[in-house]
Amino acid sequence: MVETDLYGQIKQKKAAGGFFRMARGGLFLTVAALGLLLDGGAAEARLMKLDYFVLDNGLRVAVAENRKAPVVLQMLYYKTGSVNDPKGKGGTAHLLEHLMFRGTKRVPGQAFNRLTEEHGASGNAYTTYDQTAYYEFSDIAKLELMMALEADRMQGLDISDEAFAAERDIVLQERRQRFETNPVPLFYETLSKLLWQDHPLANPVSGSPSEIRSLTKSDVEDFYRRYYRPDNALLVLAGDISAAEAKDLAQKYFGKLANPAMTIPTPTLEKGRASEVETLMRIEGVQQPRYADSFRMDAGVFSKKDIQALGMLAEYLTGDDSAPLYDELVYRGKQLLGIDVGFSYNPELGGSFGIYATPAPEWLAANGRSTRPAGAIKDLIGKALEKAIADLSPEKLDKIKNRVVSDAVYLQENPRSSANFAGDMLLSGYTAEEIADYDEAIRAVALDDVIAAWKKVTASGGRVTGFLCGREKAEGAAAGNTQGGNNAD
Amino acid sequence: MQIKSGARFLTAALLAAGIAGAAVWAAWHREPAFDAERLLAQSKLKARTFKGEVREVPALNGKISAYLMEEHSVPLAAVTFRFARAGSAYEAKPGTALMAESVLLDGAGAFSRRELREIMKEKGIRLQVSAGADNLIFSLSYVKSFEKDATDILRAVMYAPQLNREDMALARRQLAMIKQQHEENPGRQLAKLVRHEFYGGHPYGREPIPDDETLGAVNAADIRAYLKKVMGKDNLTVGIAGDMDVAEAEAFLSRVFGDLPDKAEVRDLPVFEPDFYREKATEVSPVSAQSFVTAAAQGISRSDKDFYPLYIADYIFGGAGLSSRLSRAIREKEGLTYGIYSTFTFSDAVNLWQAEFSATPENTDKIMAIAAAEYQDFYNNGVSNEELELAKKSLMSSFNLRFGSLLNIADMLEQMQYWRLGKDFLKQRQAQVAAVTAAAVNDAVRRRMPKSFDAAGGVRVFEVRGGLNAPK
Repeated sequence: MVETDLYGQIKQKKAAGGFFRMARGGLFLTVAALGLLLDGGAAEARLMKLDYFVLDNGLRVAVAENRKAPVVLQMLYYKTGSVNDPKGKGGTAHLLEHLMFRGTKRVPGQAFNRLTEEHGASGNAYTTYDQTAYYEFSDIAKLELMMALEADRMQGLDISDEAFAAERDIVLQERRQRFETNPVPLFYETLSKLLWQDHPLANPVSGSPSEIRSLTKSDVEDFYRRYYRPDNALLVLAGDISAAEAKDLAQKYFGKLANPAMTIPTPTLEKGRASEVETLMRIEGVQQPRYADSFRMDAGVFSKKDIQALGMLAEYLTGDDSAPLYDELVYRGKQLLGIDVGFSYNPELGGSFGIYATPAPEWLAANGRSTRPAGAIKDLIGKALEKAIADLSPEKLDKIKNRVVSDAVYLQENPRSSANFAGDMLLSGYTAEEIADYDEAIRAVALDDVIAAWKKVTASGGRVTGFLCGREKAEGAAAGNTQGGNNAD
Repeated sequence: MQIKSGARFLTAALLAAGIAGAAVWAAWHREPAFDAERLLAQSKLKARTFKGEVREVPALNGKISAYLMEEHSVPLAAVTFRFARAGSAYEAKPGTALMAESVLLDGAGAFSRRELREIMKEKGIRLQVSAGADNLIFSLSYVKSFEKDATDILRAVMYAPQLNREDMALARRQLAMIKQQHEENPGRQLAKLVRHEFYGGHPYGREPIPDDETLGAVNAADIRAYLKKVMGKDNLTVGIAGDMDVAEAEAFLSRVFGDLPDKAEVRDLPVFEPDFYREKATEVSPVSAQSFVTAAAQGISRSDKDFYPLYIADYIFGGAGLSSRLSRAIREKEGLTYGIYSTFTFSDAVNLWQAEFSATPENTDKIMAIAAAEYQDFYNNGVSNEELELAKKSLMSSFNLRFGSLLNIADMLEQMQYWRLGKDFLKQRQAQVAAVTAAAVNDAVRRRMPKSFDAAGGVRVFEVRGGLNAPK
């Protein structure tokens, strides 16, 4: 949707919120953002009550009971995303996600949208690298209808040629709205390509415009038949429902669906090459230079404990405006105007650890030689990072752990956050017990674990550092002129 | 898989056999129809009434009050409060409200910047301050056992912000950064076009982030004076939801708001005379391949007696997401945009009815033509009973969703108080929606909405046109 309002109010410049904010849209498993849970010591604190069972056809079901209001969120995840797009057919998973709203044999045409609207459900869907999720937030009295509709479109998709053509156009419009309205997404897309080369994580979830145009109805139907099946899906219900009720209903609506005989294909993962790349992108219209540095995290390398440790490290480094990297480089050093670190990781596919910064114009003018601004910022942040990690003590780590008790409350309070958290964790290999006791796992992470996990990140051998600026800016930076001269207010 | 390829094979064979054969086959092989009504009638899960009660909690000798909804399932409280007419449009010195919003949490009272952040993170206290054009709004949520810390911090932030020179300088630099980023954003360019062309010299026409010099002129004394003036008991509205009973809520109100002056000293907002009858204003974007379009017409107040008929009218025309007439005609049928919608927006100087979309530049005129034709049909022929019933059913069925999160409930309660909807609003709302008739909708549309979807009818259009070639 277009984000404009007639008097252009400014959003909060400092992000609020806790460990559980979800960084959706382009990123996949945000285990880092999920971060940390800890009760300051009380033994009874379970992160969240989560019931879990598996139907005979392999459909996994998780229930997060929340009796506050007579509402429920249904999320149906398929463990498939753009990494499963066939070569040259980028955007298949995403286009399919759109077409899932275009009719089945029993609920033809736009009937799905009409029915969800009529019954007051608020829903949508999204596609990431590794998951495609559909959700409906509705009154509890309407849940059975939502379940029936979701079960129906797991196997009954039936799209007309006209609907296919129109939806492919809409997807192209979406790609344009996201990627062609300003230069920044192109920068990140380029960095991703450099980091992942032939690995499927190199490809954008949306596919490229030419790939999208080349997609046919049978491309999408093939994909649908391969990946949309009970044993490749996860159903999460969060809200005013008990596990027993959920079990009956899941069985009633999803239990009769069968799996196709073929096995679920796994994507081919090219082994990442060891390479360190530094890149400078000049794009017309960029006013604000940006810096990004990402380390490749290969599949199968990082354990759950590593991931928990990295979550704590990220929180320690830039978790708020008094965290060491922010304090050193933004608040006191004034070399940067902002810095953030974060990572995402799927144990079966890999992931990356990123450092993002906005250099201060004065510092850039003095230090950002136009031939190698990325290198200059990399050196600057590298030193501060080394110092911050050296300063990390068990006491400081405990403080980070202690931050978490309250976030568990926020997590339980809102069915949306409970469902998102449960879904992401289950899909990244956690069991329901591990999720319920996630706070204990966090408590068990020691300083050495954090250092060891960070060493693994830096030892991966794949790293891409990028600097984005306007065409006039890079030259201006070299000449010490930091004003782009384009502020014609 | 078998079903699908089988169907394709059969389709080919049946095409040869002729249409009559196909019809027979289809009738024979049709799966049982999907009957939503029957399914719901047989559903085990029945409708349940949300039990939350709204209470009005007076405090400080009745000089202030809050709407409270008790909810004890999690040990969490959420409070949203607003000082009306305290936003940037009312400020004497441009940039004051924005600077206040930016630095209020950078150290307050005895809490250093670092302590404030650490305590908030460790104790699960979340506080946001946001200064819009009209209002200054605080959103606080906290784990109940840390109520004292939460109110200590809130009071420090409201009454004793430190406003250190370094924090102010950093805020200015970061605001300048955001201002620069806005230059890269066609949506922001569109908002700027609207400010210049539509609001002009009115305070709504000012840059949301003033330039360095203007921001530099705002000092700590200005911010203190601003806060002291605009925060009063008489322009305060409060919503509280969560683990608080009436006595606790009353204590909270007395403690947090006891030091406020009875009357805020707010300035008058200059009268704004909107002109919706002017031709489209267009600018070219230096960064975007896509065009962004917004259309604006005279809207209504939230407390208008025609609110529900018009809200439903808008819902049917463009407000209902993918199911609205606009979205069906332009997105679903033609695939011309990723999204198009309309909505009513409220502000102190002017209430608007707006429609927005983004599209490739060569399609915007076509979209506007379809939208105008759809609108004319809507205006001339009105909405059908069927559409109306569908819209009402949808709005009534979704009623309980607002109670999903405490933070949401607190916001809603505050808005009920701000718009003077009364504490019984939630009890009456379903009946108010149910009572709306097609005649009432169509009558309100004729009286209150534009005659046509163009300048002649009072719909003013603004476009930032994609100026780049789309990458391949």
